[in-house]
Amino acid sequence: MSMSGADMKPAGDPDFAVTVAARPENVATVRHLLGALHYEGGMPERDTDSVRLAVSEALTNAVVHAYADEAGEVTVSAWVDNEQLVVCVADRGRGMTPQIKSPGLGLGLPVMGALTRSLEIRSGAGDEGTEIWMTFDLDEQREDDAA
Amino acid sequence: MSGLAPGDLTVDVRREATTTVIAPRGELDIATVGRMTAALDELDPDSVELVIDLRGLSFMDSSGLRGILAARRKAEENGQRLSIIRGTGPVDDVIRLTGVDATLPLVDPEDDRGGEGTPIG
Repeated sequence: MSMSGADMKPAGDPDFAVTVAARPENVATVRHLLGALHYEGGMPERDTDSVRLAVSEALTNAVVHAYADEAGEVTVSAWVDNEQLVVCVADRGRGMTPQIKSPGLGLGLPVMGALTRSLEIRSGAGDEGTEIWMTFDLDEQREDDAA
Repeated sequence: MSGLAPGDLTVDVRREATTTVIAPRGELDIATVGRMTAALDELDPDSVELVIDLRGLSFMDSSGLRGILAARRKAEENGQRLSIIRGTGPVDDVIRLTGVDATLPLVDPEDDRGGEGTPIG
């Protein structure tokens, strides 16, 4: 059984951490910042695309669901642990609630699930907000490349 | 995407005979999908065919995909034939991973046509 990213918190500061207002225009900003990171040994472009797409889905979830019509922030942290990239997208909003008319996010979850090695969505510290934990393999020998 | 800032999107709309071609360029996500749906709102309902050309997109997520699904609804409302020219990389990924590829009239770039024998672009 693979570990959740939430079980892989770094001993020190993460390699990447940014907090932005939970607004639509910041989704692209953060995904470009995170996608530009070059980890030791390099990350294949194909994997970088997967990270950008999954992070975009997680950030969009925070923008749409976390704060209703109020202002709020979302923090994205990332680091490498045992040849995996760990990414956490955390807001301090109203938490996970059922959404009957979700604008696109019903499609976002399966996208994140397909692109990540592990995906966990849970309440934030103090039962406040939502954290989306994702891990990605940094190994270049992905199954689809080996085919 | 030359001339576009990261995260930006432009939507080119052109009419070719009885076909309307919509060609978004750049990144289609929650911040930019409104430009796509705005372009759809201004479509000529008299076009026989609507072609969405995704080759100019460098990124699309599931929020951006809503713009493509809105195009499908628009074409259905207008009684127009719809063709969607596939994009590459993450643009094609999100269509495939969400499973909507089974419900969209996707055509490979080398097969694009834009109507009955009418070349595009």
